[in-house]
Amino acid sequence: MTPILQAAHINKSFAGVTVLDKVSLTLEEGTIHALMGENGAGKSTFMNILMGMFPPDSGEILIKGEAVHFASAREALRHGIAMIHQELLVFPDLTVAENIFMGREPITGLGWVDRRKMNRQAEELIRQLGMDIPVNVKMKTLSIGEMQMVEIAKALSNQAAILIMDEPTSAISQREAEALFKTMFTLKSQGKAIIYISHKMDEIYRLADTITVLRDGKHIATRPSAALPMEELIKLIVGRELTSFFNKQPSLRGEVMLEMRNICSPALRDINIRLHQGEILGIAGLMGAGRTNIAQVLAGLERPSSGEILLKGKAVHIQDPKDAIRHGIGLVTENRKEYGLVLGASVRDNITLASLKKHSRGVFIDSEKENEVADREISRFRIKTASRQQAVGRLSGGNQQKVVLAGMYLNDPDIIILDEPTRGVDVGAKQEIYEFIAKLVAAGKAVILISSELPEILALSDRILVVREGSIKAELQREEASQELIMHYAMID
Amino acid sequence: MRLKIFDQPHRIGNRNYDYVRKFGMLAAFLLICLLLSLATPNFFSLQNMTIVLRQVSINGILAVGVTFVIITGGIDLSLGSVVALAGVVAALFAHPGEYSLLVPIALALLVGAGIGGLNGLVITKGRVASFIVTLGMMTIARGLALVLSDGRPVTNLSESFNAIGGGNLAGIPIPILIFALVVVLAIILLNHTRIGRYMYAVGGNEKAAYASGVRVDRVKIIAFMICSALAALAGIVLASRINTGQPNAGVAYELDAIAAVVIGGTSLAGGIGSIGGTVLGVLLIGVINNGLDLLNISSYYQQIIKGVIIIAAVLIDRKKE
Repeated sequence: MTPILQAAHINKSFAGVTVLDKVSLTLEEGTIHALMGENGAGKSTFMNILMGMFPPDSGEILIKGEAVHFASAREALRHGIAMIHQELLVFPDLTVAENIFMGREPITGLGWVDRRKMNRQAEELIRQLGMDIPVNVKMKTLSIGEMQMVEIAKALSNQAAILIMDEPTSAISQREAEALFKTMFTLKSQGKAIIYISHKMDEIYRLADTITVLRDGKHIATRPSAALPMEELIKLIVGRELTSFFNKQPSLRGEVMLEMRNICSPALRDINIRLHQGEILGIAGLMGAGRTNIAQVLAGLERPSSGEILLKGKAVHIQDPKDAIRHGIGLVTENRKEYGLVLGASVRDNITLASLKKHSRGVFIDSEKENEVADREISRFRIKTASRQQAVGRLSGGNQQKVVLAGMYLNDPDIIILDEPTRGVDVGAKQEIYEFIAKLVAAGKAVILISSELPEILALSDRILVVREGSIKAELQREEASQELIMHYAMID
Repeated sequence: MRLKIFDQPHRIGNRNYDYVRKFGMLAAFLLICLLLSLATPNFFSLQNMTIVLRQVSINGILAVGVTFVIITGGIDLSLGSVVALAGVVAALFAHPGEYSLLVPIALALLVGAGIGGLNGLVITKGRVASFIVTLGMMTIARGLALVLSDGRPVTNLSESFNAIGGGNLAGIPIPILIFALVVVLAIILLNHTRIGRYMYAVGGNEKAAYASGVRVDRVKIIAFMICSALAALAGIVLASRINTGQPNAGVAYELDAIAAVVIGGTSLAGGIGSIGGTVLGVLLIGVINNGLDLLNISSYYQQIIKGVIIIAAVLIDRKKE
């Protein structure tokens, strides 16, 4: 039988960076096909290409053996491919039926919307999914799990034969997840094909007939799930080598600089961390596991609901980022465009923003000193920029990140938190950032390194904490840590 | 200290384009001046230039004030009403032989700063859009002006008070001197102090400014206070010039001020802009109004032309994005 979907040798690069390298996938009717891989493995890009969000650079997509080219999501939908997004795209103030039939409302002879027909058809669709959701209530009154069902109903009303689900259980309750799984099996028995993206191992093994693993934009393996033991799957998912050379010197561990005691917040459960002077503490975990929340609590961007933070043994209250900076905590955020930089402002203004008071006389900025400091940091961090007046938004990712690092470091913090410091950074700049981190600890700073790149965490950290679902699941010493072990704790109980 | 009047380090874009944008408006302004001096005998005379400057000084003071708010990413629609309220407050204490001249001036400025502070507090602590809060304040301040004056113009003002708007100092009308002083202080504040830098940062990326330890709320409140205090100053000048505290004065003045700011290249999205640009915007509007007057073109057409210029200026700004 011809597979319902074949994607062959799909290539895609963005700005010279290869994101997908000859990735292929074959999807059979009536199956659930899991797509796995670490953050940044290329899953989203691949799915977006199947969805018609952007075209591949090269490669072929066949539907039932026929080559297709999608110019838009609408065209993909016309060929029967629909995606249930992680972030649901709904109209909260319209009814369930209106959401399902958005843009395709049944009309009466007079050109009016035929509400009765629309509601009846919507009810029929919902019932087919084995659900019981009223169709004339506003979308916003539903739970996220119910909204997902409505999205699925919408896909089915579009005659979708292929459903792509991107981490559908990340934001719903266990009970709702069960209902979703039941619906998925129903769809499967009706001959629909589902591509299922998830990090949750138990779900994968319950649902998937076939598993495909991507890593660094490459197709690594496709196997029947029954023939792929979990430990081997984890090996396939990780197994990435550090792309750049780094030789870590042993750290000289000093006194305890920072302690988090029983920190809880909506995203964190009972976090206990001790950070020593001169050490690099790695924090690993999947995206959304709570890594960034730990950083944000320390930097004053998020307030814990309970628990204590101690600096050199003294309890402190960090109300806002200004407090954190005053206490000698510096953060490099994972999202430099959102929290790190004023993109429209100059390189100089960004470098000095957090430490402006140091370059001032009274309320006035000491321009001479400020320019000196900016030029010094530009050359120290080897920031490639036309001048200090250049808008920071026009620099490359690596150079932007160096601006963030320079700005943070000018406050001379004792505790430095680096959240994905090499994300979107080229190899050369990565290497320089690693060297900078090494210099920090050599100078007696304490560093928390959060990263999705396991080789990076392994190469730099003295100790590694693994976070899952808001709590610390394991503490690994440098010697015992491995990518497999970290992934094991990050994904499985 | 070197003052950078036309310096706009805070914009992204093509370098050549920046020059076009920065000096294009200046070139357009000079071209219009040249055309008008050729077309009318009186335009390019010291006397007429003085008239233009005096005419624009009130809008100029308002526009400089609202530049601060717009750079932080906000908007202030209450300016016109603050002009009236401050004028009434000043006039009530400016009757001959009652108080020293400082009293009406100080009170009016305080009322202005207070209203700005209130705007800023509700916007930051209450997390309401500045458009809404200042729209409400527009009505409140107007109402206060009417209540305080009992709905009637406040007249019988002292000679010394009337001199603020009508007098000369060293041969130059005092409103022009006040406008010039405001411009110089605003440039210093925006380009050479920390709070000025923070205003650009807050308007450019509020979250990043906050994460860098900037007290975002305080910066915004100060911007609104400066803006309203300058509106009050404009109100004092206006009341003095018409020798009346007029509760119905200043209607829609905020729109002219915002127009001048926008023509001057300040982005309504925040983070980008300069006092120099605003001054140019103010002068451009003033010169065009004056020139059309001299050419005997009806003020009805002036409205249309002003509107076209506003839209054209923003279109040029958009094009580079």
